[in-house]
Amino acid sequence: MNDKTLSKICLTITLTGMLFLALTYKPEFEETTVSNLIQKENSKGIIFGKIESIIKTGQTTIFILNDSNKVLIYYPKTIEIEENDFVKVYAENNSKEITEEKYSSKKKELMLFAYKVIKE
Amino acid sequence: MILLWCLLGAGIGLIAGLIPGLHSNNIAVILAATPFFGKEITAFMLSLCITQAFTEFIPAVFIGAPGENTFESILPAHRMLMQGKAFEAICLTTTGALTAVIAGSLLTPLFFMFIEQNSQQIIAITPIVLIAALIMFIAGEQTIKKKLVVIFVIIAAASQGILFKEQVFPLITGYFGIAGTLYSLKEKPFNAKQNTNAEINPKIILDSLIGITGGAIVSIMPGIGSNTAAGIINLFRKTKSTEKYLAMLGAINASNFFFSYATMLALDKARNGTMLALQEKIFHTTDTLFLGTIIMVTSAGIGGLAAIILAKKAIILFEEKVTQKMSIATIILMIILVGFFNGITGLTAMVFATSLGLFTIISGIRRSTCMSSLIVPVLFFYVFTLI
Repeated sequence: MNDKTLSKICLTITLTGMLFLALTYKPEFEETTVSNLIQKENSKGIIFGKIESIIKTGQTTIFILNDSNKVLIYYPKTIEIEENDFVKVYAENNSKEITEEKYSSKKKELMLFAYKVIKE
Repeated sequence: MILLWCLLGAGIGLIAGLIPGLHSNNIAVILAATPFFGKEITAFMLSLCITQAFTEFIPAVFIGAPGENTFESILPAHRMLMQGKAFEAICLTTTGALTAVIAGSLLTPLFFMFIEQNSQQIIAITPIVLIAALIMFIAGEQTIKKKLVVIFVIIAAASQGILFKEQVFPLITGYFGIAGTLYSLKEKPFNAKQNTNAEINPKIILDSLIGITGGAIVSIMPGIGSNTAAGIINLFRKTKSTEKYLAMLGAINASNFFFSYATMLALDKARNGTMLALQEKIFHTTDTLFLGTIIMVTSAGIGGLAAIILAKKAIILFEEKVTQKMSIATIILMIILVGFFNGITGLTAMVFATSLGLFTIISGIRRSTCMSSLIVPVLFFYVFTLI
């Protein structure tokens, strides 16, 4: 195998990868609302709203977000946020699992899972 | 859009690879402070890391300036440079890295499952592997006198490693860059007419596959770098072919990043600065590993192509006879880079490291023993922190 063959292999890998990326990639999170997210299980989206209240438990944060509809959000990390802060949340509606496994003793309530919370 | 981020990362990775001392970890620090995150920034960082893993061998081969991941390549690469085979050396590291990324993409699901199930056992055996490496350094020498010299070098290098904990670049520049170049000043100038074609034996793919094991070790065991893994693997290997070694080092370097990403997703633990920055910027979703894999394979193609083209360009600079002036210029360049990136402390560390590097050359023992400056602090970290 010479350097020209190696270059051709590299070029083939590059073009194949780019084509594959272009064909398979779709944005994971798009802007949406709380009502849209809670209606469809396993849906993901970026929601923007005001924090109504916060519960911090060790390394996790649970808060109520209001964007004209209220929803409980579970974030598996700590974050410096306060009530009335405006935040952008990258969330997923897989809350059924979270509610049942982690908070089985509490009242079962729809809870979104947050991948990222950004203070605006 | 994601393709643009991938290409941008590849572009910056190419440049970063050509600047000795500029590691992706340095860029990751800047990245961590930006508000960007998600798939786009993942594409950018992974692309940068993989592309850099290909091009960072160019300064190591042509000017003898080591990077954090390439200093083990300098002695074999310098040998090939003197034989007019610098371009072949780059093609070998490229083949190794490319093989590692392709095979790594196929092995990722297995690797992911393996580390999820055996992470504790792997961490537990790390100090044993490190102690074995130190013993092998000593056992590798034939006479009692040389064994004693090796013990002295291990102690000296370990002291430097502990004293100058954050000065990896100056230390490796001293041991492997400046020491060798300084010593070569007393040699007669050599005709370095470089060959612009390279013929690669497909059998080196097997050595690249061995390198993947090294990359996997680096990605799992905290504190062990690509060079340490290469040194450890090399101690256990009977064949010391320069070509095979370079291919293996290329494979370790690329697969390190490849598997670090899988390790981060599987264990939620970062094994290097880049992954630490990325950890905060990434969504741990089901398709994250899949997307990352495609991006890294694509970037490997770009990095390989770029390394071949840039190496050919670099040869033009070396068409004339390499003289002592070139060596002196290289030394000055390395001093400037260390001063720029690491300041006075770095320059001090470099002076000590150069002295030790020269001592190993004059004593006729393996310069890779100086790797004890990385191995011993990591060993202490395991013994006193993790156990």
